[in-house]
Amino acid sequence: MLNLIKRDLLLSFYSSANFFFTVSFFVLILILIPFAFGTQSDQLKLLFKGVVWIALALSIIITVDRIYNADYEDGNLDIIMQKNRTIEYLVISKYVTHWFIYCLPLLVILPILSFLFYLDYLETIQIFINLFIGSFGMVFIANFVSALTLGAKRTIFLKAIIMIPLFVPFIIFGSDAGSWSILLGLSMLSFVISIYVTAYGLRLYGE
Amino acid sequence: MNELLDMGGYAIFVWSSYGIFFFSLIIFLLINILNLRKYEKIFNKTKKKID
Amino acid sequence: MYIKINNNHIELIKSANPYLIFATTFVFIIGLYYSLFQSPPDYIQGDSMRIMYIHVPSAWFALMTYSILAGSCVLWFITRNPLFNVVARSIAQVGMVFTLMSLITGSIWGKPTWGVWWVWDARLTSMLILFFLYIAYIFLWQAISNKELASKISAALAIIGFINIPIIKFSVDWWNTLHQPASISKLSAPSIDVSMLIPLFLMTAACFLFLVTVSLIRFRLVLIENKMLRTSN
Repeated sequence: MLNLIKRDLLLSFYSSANFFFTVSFFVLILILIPFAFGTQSDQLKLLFKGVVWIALALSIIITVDRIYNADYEDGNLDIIMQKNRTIEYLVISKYVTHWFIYCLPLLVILPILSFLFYLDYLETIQIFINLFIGSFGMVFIANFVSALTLGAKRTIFLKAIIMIPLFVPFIIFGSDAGSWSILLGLSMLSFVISIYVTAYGLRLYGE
Repeated sequence: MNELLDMGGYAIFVWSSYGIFFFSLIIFLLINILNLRKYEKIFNKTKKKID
Repeated sequence: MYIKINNNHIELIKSANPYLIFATTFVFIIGLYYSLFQSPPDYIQGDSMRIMYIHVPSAWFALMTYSILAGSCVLWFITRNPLFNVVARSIAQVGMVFTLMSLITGSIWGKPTWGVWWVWDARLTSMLILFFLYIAYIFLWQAISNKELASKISAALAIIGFINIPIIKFSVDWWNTLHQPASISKLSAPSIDVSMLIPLFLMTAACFLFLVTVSLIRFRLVLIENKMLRTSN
């Protein structure tokens, strides 16, 4: 499992444009807020709290093609699955690497962005905690959607249609500062469902 | 008759919703029937070829 | 409990088809007569509440069809009987049409009663999400080229969507209490008079007959599709 994590992290490190693209995408969506709604500080604060979740959802959606597809197409997935009898280890390592590569950079850049939008320390910490918990749940969902749609090539819109309804509860509870506990519950629930479904999808495609 | 068509001032809403509802149900039914006929034709052709 | 479909069953479905279409149109016409002519207008909403007679049955059948879809997907995973997969695939599109119809008629009904076309209320939002779940189910099946895999994958997705719908309903309810304390959609439902129950019952029966008719037509279609896929492989 650690080998798999190390391998994926190294692979993404050597093609390091990956982090850069998702972070820029995230920042650019948020930069559109003042252009679209004006620069009143109260309004910006309010909008930032909501749009940050939309930006997170979109930047997870655009990475969904990169979780299993490369390994599936060059045949590495079969080899990994033959070596590891328990696919769940592979799935968990993919969760970890996907979160590290695509969500951690967003969380790192978040405090800087929130100061650009006039949020104070307390609000930034609340948003950070909510995004930290919610991003895990969203990563679990993105993983199982990616594993289920391995056979459907070039269907990023279809994947978005599948994923956005599943993201709705996260966005509702995430944009409210006080409901981190419900968000944690949702993330745990999505972990339980996701690990079964991802392993099921990978077994189907691995056969 | 005019009273009926007027629907107590709600004519547009009532008649348009009934119209949309029945129009799309009929269209949906027709699409499925025509599709079924098309598939049956193709299936019978290939079946004859195989036989 | 292994039910197998043979040619006799298909012939039976085929011969029942014209009768079913006739019965559907007949009940629809009686239902239309009752709902447009024979029932009194509501004393608050006036004649606009006549939309209820098509809105409520289509909403019921949208939900019922999704339950049947998810239930047959679960049964397919348990029993491995391919009949359940065929049932799920033949019923999905009818459910999508009913969901769309309940959304459109509900929105047309909402304009005269609430003054707006749409309210971000839990029921409406979860119906909208339900529509996208139907779309995801249908189009995921079409997108995957290996059809045996495609049925399994889309069945898994249908079950996940079935878990997701109550979560969305709950979360939107919670969100509503937070954002709009006095929701206009929370009109208390008054008890319905018998003269309004008759057309509602008739339209429900007609919608049920429509569901059965189209599902059986699609059942035959899906069976032929399956046969053609098998011969082409």
